[in-house]
Amino acid sequence: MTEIRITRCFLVIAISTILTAACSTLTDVDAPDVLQPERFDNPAGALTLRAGAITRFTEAMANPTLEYGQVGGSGLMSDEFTSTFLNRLSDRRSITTGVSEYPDQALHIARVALRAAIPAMQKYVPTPSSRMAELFGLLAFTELFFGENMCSGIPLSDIIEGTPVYGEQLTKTQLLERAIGDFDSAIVYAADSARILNMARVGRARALLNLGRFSDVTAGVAAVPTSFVYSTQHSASVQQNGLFVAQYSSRTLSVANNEGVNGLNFRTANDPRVPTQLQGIGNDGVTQAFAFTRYNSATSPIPFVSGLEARLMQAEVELRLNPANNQTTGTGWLGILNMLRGTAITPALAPLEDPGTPESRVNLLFRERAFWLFGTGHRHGDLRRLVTQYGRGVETVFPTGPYRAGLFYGTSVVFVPNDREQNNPNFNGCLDVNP
Amino acid sequence: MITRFLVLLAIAATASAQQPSGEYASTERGPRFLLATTRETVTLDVSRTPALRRRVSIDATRQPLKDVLDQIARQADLSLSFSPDVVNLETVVTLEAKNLTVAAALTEVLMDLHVDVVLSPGGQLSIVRQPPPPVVGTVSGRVTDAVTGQPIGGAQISVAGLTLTVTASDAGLYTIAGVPSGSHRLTARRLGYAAQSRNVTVGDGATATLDFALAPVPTALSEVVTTATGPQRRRELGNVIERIQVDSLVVDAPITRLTDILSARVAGVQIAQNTGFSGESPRVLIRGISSMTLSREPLLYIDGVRVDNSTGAIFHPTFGFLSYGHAPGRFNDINPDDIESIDIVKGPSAATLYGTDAANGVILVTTKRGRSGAPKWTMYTEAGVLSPAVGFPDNYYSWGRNTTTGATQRCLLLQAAANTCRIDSLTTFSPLHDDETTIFGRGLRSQLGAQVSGGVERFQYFVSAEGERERSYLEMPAAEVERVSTERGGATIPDEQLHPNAASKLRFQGNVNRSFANGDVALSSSFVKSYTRIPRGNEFAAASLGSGYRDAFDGWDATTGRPGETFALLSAEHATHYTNSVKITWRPITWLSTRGTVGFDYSGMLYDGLQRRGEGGGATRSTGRRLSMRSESSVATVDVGASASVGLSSAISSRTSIGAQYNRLLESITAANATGLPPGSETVTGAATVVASEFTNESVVAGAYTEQTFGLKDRVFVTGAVRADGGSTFGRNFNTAVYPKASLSWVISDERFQSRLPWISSLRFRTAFGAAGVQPRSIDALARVTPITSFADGTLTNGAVRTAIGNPDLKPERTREWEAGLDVELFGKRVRLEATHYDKLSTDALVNRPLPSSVGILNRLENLGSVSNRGWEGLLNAVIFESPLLSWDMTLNGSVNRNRLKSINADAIFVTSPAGAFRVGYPIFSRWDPPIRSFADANGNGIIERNEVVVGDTAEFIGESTPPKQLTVATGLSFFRDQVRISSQFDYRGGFVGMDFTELNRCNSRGTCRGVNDPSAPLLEQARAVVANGTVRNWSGYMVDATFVRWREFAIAYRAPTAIARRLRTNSFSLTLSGRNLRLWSDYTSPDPEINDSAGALAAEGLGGNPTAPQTRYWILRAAFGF
Repeated sequence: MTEIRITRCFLVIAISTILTAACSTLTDVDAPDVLQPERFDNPAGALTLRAGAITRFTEAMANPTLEYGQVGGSGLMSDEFTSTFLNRLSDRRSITTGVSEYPDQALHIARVALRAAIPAMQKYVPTPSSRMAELFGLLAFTELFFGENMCSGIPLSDIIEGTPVYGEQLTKTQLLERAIGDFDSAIVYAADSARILNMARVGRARALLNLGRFSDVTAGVAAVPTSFVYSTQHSASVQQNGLFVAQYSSRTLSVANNEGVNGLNFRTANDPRVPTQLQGIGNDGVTQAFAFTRYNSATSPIPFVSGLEARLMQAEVELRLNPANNQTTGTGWLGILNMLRGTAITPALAPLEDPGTPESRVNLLFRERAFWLFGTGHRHGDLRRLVTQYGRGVETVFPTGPYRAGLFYGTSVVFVPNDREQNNPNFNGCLDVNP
Repeated sequence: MITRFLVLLAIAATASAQQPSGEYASTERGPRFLLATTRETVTLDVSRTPALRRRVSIDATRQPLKDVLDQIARQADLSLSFSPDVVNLETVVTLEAKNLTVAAALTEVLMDLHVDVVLSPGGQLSIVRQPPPPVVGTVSGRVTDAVTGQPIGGAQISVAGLTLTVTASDAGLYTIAGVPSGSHRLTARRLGYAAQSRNVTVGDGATATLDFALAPVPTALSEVVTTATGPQRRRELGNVIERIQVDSLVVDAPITRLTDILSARVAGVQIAQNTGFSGESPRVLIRGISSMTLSREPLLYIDGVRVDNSTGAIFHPTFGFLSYGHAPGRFNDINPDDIESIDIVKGPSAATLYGTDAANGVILVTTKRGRSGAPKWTMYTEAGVLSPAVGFPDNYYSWGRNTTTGATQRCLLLQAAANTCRIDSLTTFSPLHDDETTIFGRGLRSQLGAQVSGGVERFQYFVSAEGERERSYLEMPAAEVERVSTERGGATIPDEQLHPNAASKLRFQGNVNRSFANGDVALSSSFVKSYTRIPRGNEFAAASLGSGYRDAFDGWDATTGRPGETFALLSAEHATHYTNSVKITWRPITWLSTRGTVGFDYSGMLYDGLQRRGEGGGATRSTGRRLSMRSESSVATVDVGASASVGLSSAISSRTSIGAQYNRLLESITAANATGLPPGSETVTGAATVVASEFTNESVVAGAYTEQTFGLKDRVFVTGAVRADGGSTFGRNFNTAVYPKASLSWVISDERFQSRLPWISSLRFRTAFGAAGVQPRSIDALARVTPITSFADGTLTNGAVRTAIGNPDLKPERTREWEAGLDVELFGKRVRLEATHYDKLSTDALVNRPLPSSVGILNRLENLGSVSNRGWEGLLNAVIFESPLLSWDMTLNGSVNRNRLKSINADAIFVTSPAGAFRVGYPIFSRWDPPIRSFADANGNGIIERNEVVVGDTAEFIGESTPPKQLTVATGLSFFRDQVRISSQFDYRGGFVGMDFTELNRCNSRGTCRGVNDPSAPLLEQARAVVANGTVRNWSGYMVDATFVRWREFAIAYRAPTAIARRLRTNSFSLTLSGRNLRLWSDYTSPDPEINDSAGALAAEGLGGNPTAPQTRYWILRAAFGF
């Protein structure tokens, strides 16, 4: 009897031991797809995070799966592009709470990736410092875009040691000032790269322009050569130019023409700065789709920062501060515009004449900006500035009146955050949805 | 720790129950303590008998037994009588002990003397001689199917009046040792068969042979079912397990795949058909949807081995070669003709012992086994024609003139209302309805198979081979063939473009059984090679978005292209799938059965996407695309267990089971995605761009369980069980998932009071409670940075971005379920009724908690919610009329399920589609949008405009996306002793709302629907189009009641009598003509309420009906021969 009991006890202990030991190791698995964040705590990891952040920024600028990104999205809300989807509410200025149609999600993803890459680069690959400067500059641009295109009250959150830290709501002014701060950092670190330095200078000036600090603009961009260009980078296999895909492949995006009464005649002006080509019937089966042929390849770069813009900003400042200097040549506002028309494109465009009235001068300046900067994500901000800085009525600058298929343009002038932002306890809706 | 405790518990329970309370106890060395009553002598409970618990202290070294007995009696103050005729009192014994009980002292000194101690009612103890050991023999034999002769493994054979019960091996063999000599009545039971009792006479030390041939009958209480712990009588289970006998079904119904067997045959089991493409793998849903993010597929076991049956797991996210709703999967790889039976374990109350992953139920497939005897051949062949079960709506085009310029233009209703144009005329056209342009042709199906089985008494085999080909109804129209051929310089168009949807399978199955004296070994092996070709699906979008007249594109959508373009985009899957298992059953002693199964399931898939350069595309021809994706999936299974069945007394039986299971799933995908192919190239080599990707997913569940069942008088059974699991996918702060189970089964009809109702053949009440789980993906708990290919500084380089913050507290979803029901058989089993109520609650539901956009990471998977599924299931089976010449039977099975999101334990705001929203208190994936309150043509222009429609301010519940109601009516007429059988089945699903994306896009993307073109269109059609395109998008008008009734099956089967079969030089012959998906009744506005455009995407359950292939109508002629 005792023998049997001992045998039972032994059996129980043996099986229990085997099972317990086994269960702790049997369930171990490999997860080769999963890279833990600690793996990137080294120079190679820092460079990898930097490249990933640049990719995310590029995707946010021009990703066909994210409402065309910053460039396409802002172009739809303005008069640059029109959609061949009737349901594209941003094209109809019918943005409402709950329907964002702006790649704010993608911009946040890019911003957080940039925020993670910067300290890694600072720690492991501090030189050349222009790499950090570029990350600071791109980070600043994400903040600039939030301020330029979205309603006031966008929060900027972070991930600290794996935990989300929800940001407070920032006004449009605060967002732009934060952008200026990061552009300043970029300028400090960009000493060893004129390209990055100029990118930061132009970006900083753009933020200042949005803030209406005209007197501060000129000094920052004076040294930027007109030929300077900083573009998004695209390849055929990854980071494809979303504007190319939307215009040429899916034909869901078309260059607009006189959109909504107020829109400029981008197509029919036959201006070489906005070359277009008919692609056929658009995705809706009805609308003719015209492509902006500067983006005729998946690898076409988007020059969203340039010396052209620097000159245009200088011209705008001149017009505001010294409108009487209307010489067709020289450093006055009209002289700068004509300098660009004569030297920045071949063959040269005919010089402009002063239209005479303050309002028509502003119209001329903004038309020049619209054509020079077409498809680079500037036009929506310009329309907002026409309202806030030049006293124009919303319905005199934004597309308005009948849309297509019996529909009408709405009243939206800004994008609103994605609904999921409501999960931020610090977010209580837009502070201001006016321009 | 918990695992160790469970094992201890299980072993202890087994050990305590290992001594059977038989009539004889010849193996015991000590005396038995018995109580003499006026009628009989019974065993005493020593611990409760004061006289035997008195204490004595004895110090006797080598003293005569008599002296020691006297000392014990004296010290205990007992009257102890003994006689030298009974025991040799001079026997020398030694006993040195203090404070020993009388019972222990007597046991020690009477050891091996073959005597018992009897206590009389008056308190007198007597030492009596033990009765002589009984004379016993052995009964062995074989249990077979009376109709097919197939062995019936798992049958239980019991001896009347004794507690001797054994289970037949997979070869149907059984042996019962220790049967007292004399005449006995043995009974054999197995689920799906009528119990059979037969007499046998057992000689002294001899082996008697007794075979059983069980007749198949509908499920009855007396039969045996296979559970996680091994074979068990159904009457002992507190939960319902449904069984489908497949043998006869493949003759009497149009069965082409496993899901056809399951469709509408078991209450509470729904088959989501997805699309009508050949080669499709539909999904199986049991008792509603419990999870918001994880798979809701039940586990699939084939011959004890877990098989990967996930659908949509192989979807390649970047290439998009797969069609709307197309879900690849391996569920239908098994050959229905090789299946003997299918057991369906519906929910956690029954599936507890299958543990984590089993919350959605378990489907147990048992393949056919060989039988002893000469080789028996079965050959079958079938041929069928395929056609679309439903049509598509016409497209509309309203012709008009610009009111300002007079130019001809399309003039939609709202433009006419705004007076920008004036409608002149209206045309309608669909390329699917014109003989010259349609892609709806006539598909073909063929099948040829052979099976052979045979063997000797201890060795049997079953081998089958089958080839199957199916070409769906999709085909390129003749005019299009000519056009495309001309465009390609007269080249012959490949068949895969002429017939873009086809499927073929080559299947082999081999099963071998080897029996030994106390056990058997079963080997099962299956091999399937399949090829499935499915078009991308845009052909249906092109048809539904076409112009509305026969234009230069033949009425197809110009952007998407004509069939010559859409069919040029090929998507094929080459799969190799094998499942092997070894199952060993060993019964070392009569009351103990042990088993072990080791198996491996492997699937290897090659996804083959190709669009050649210059073929396909829209206005400009494609530069060529190529996807080459290799995917492997394997599941390793180890399952060991033991069950001890003993009688604790004449009234109480015990069944103790322990077991452990181990499952490891490994998936890996490697893909190369190329664009810009060189002319003539069909590979990624030399392509302008190639993007490669790799994915790996590995998960493990290891667990152990113990189960204890007590039976009272074979009428009341109480079961308790617990299972503990460890899993690889759990967060680091969560270790073990523990799932309890309890059940009660009461066979009321066996109670005496029930005999007053003789028309009730059997009546049982059952109730069960249990829990199980579903685990997340292996990487969900981890914080992770995802590597990507970046383009920076002008070069392709390594990049990485953080994509998840991880969740160390992640644990499996846990579903607990309570069910209760009645099983009734009336009028000699002519009427059978089952009714079950279940209440299922999933807690710790895994939800992708949306993070604020500003965080830069989309979601975090958390155990946040709880989902309830509560409902009723019923089955009514009746033989309405029965005679040798004609019998008529009818089966109704139905279910009603109430799905509710009970809670989300977070303050998260979920951003979900209106077509599949989560709202507390409502079904998950339900339809929500502000409803259309009213509409009226206020200005009398015959056109509904935006300001003439009143829409609610806030989103309201419009309906659920999954049918909560299901009813199947199946009936059959049998003539001339079952020689001819006519059967039919109607399938109703109701109470759900479809999301008609087809019509939504027709109206609002391309303006091809009636509601935006035709001034005479019903105002509702106009109104819903207007609000869908309004300032705020609103889909409510396209959320349409999708209730339907489908004439699912019809068959005429002829089984030739033996004489005719002989004339054909066969032993048996049958001929069946059958049809599937024959007619649809529904008010749903899209073509088919059964299609689901997002079948492969878990989080988009029931999202809706984008245009894709409607269900297929089959007409099949099948002949089967037996030799």
